[in-house]
Amino acid sequence: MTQAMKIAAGEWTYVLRSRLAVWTLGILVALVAVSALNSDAQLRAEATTRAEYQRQADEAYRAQPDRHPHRMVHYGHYVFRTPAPLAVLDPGVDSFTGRSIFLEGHRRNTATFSEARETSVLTRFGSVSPAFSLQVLAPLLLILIGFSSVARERERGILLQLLAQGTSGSALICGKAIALAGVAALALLPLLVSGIWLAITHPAELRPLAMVLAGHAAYLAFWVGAIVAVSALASSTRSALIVLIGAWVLLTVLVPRLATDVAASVLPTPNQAEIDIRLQAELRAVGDSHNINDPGFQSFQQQVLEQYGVSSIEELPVNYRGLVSLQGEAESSAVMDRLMAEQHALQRGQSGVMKWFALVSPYIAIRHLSMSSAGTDLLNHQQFLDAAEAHRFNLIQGLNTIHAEELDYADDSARSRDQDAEQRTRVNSEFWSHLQEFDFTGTAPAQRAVSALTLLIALLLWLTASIIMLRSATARVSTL
Amino acid sequence: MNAFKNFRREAGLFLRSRTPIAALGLLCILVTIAVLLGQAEVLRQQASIDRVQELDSIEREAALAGAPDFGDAAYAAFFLTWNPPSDSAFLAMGQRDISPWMLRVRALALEGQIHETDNFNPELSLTGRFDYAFVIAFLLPLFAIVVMYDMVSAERDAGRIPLLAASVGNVRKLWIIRAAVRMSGLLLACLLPLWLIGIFIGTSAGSLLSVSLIVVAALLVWSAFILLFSFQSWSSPVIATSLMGVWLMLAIIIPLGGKLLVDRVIPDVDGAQISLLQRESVNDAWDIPKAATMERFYVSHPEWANTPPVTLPFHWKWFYAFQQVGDESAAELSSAYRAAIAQRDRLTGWISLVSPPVAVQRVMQHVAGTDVQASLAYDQRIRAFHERLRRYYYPFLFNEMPYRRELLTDIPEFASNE
Repeated sequence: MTQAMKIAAGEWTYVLRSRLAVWTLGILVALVAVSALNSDAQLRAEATTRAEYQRQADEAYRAQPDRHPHRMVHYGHYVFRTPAPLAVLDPGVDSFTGRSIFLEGHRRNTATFSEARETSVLTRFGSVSPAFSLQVLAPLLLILIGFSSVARERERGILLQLLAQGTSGSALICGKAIALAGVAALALLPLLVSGIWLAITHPAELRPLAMVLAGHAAYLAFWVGAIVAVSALASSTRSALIVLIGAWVLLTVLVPRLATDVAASVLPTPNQAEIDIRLQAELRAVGDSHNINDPGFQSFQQQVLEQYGVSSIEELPVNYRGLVSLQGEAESSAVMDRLMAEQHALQRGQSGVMKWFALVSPYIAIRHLSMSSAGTDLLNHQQFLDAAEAHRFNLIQGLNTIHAEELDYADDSARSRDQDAEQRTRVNSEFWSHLQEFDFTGTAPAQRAVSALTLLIALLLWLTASIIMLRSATARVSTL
Repeated sequence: MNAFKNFRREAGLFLRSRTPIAALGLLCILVTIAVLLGQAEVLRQQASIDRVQELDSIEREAALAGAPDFGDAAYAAFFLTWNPPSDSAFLAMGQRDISPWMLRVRALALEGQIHETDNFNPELSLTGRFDYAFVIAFLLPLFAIVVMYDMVSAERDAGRIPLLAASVGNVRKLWIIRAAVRMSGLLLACLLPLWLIGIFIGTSAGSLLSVSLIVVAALLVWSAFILLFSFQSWSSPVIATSLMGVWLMLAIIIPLGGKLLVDRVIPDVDGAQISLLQRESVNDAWDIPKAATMERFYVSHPEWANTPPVTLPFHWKWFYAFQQVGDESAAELSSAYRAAIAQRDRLTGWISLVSPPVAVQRVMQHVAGTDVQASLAYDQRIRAFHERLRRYYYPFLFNEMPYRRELLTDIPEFASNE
């Protein structure tokens, strides 16, 4: 072990003496630190703005004057997504998804205004985030620092000298790996610091945080092992460099993009326009709930009359128009939920196809591990959409209930022609103050950590592969 | 003549070296894959547009057939707008997996409709596509480094420089020829599959030519960097690592720094504000006197100012008037939003001057018609169409005509070249 530490110390001295390596190291640590600080500042600003918008939207809703409840159904409400706390480490898909949703009656709207449109050319290769720095850039910089670690010694004839002096092959390989692991640990340091900070400010996020850290540690350990092994196995420093850069391009640049195209080809998703048309055709069968004589509500009318034991809708103790609104919204929501669930499943299927590529590239494994632990993946976005939909449904049905219970049927029917009747259909604005606050939490932190376990296993497989490579490198060096 | 002979000799030598030839072969394969994947995506998008166009007209017919009056008809009938992929869209997917290229609109307030996002899987958008622009912007420089970085140092390490000097006389000329051979190889690997497949699928020669020029320009810029480094008296690995550092800087660090700069210099206009404003205006109409809304509407539409005042609690002409007033009240914010996007795009253009990969992507997206400008132009076409559409309905609504489906025969339809 002391032999290995000596080798490691020697490698460190070498790295610190080489200007290029010191620069690379500096850039690496600075990148992770700067991106963490930047995301932190940006997310804080973002969270404040979102919370402020939400407050404004809530206030505007509560401040609405006396109105017909169906006016409020169309006035609707906005909900905003505030970034997840761990988005500081990994913003995931956040900049590609809409940030606000308009909730209104009869419709399930999509999230609007994604950030990606605005500077896409600059960020198509990656984002300014600790996750991107560690997952894509760190391996490349580790390669630049470590590709020559063993190959260099061989080329200069020092390798034989060391072995002749009694340094064992395993001590040599271990020492080189320890030295490079030290560099990787330096790169992880900013992540660790912000991780500790996040664990203090958001104690509930402890387990996913540990998962993110463990994942990145395993991922960088894979690269450290692979780099040292290739450096020992390659015939020259030059070929070590070419092989390693080739591997980096393949694993972090090519495979992910090919995986995207494979996923999109295997499971193509329809465009929103197509979904909307299908939806509309199905909703036509439900009927238009603005029109109580719509054929879609004939049997419903029969059922209501029987239930209340009366012979005409005028005799009902409640406003039949409100009942139709309630029924129409329930039926149309059921249709919309079914179609959306289909689409969500399809998209999750695409992401599932992508995740299988974790066996082809460790980068895919760490990226998905990190996103799903941080709660910034597709699943979390879909949960936001579903939570917004549930909120919408409750809001609208609450209004429809007021419509049914507070309004007089005769006034309600005459309100488009008769000014006085119209005035009487406006209910007290007091009702709007009962607005429920939208509270989206997403998957519980502990469960996020658990769901990323399979990806951690994939990473451990990669780590094992790199250890096996190190062993064969040791055997190769020892037989020199 | 002598130069040609030297070129042939160098080419012969080059063809016998293993690593560079393997690299060129790989590049050629990647280019082919990128072009084919891009074209497959374009065909998928085209098929999707064709399919939805058909579904859309069936659906609209059903909506119009069931309408009791013109107001309801205009409310129920959606119209598909689309932004077809150009014949060179396969080169660069650009904005086409982030911003919508199909959108259905109706005669209601447009600001409530035009900002919808499409059903894109964000995890796929996050990774981005493997298209030709990507290969040229990011991978071509790496391949150029692999093929050219040790052009000089390999000879020096092998101690052959004095020998070369003795045999060719002018070593500098030899390096030029050697570089030319390798650059031709790279160029061939990038352009041959492109031209073959491009001609096969009917891409216009103009697009192919401009793309080829971009490739040549990118290769020249990167070759200049590589030659600059490879003539230094460093060892091969130091040259290679330094060049990787340059690539990292130009391809990744500068664009990301640029992103931070753009965010600071041109803060984005928050889109959410637009829809909030538009919605307040539209909904306020129900609570303020009808005449107030109508007067505002008549300012921009004086041709209807002489129609009778709205006395009933509900009238369709008032309904569509307040939709338009809602759009008008958000117009300023909405154009500021688009201006900010355009401004950010312009600043990105300046940043691309110091980052060849960004420049390559931008220019290719421009040729392919998939850049920010193209997406904003589509936005404009939707706006123009929406205006035609709502103005088409006004005579029926303001003249209070009884509904007959047959009256809506010359109903405007979107044309993608609007």
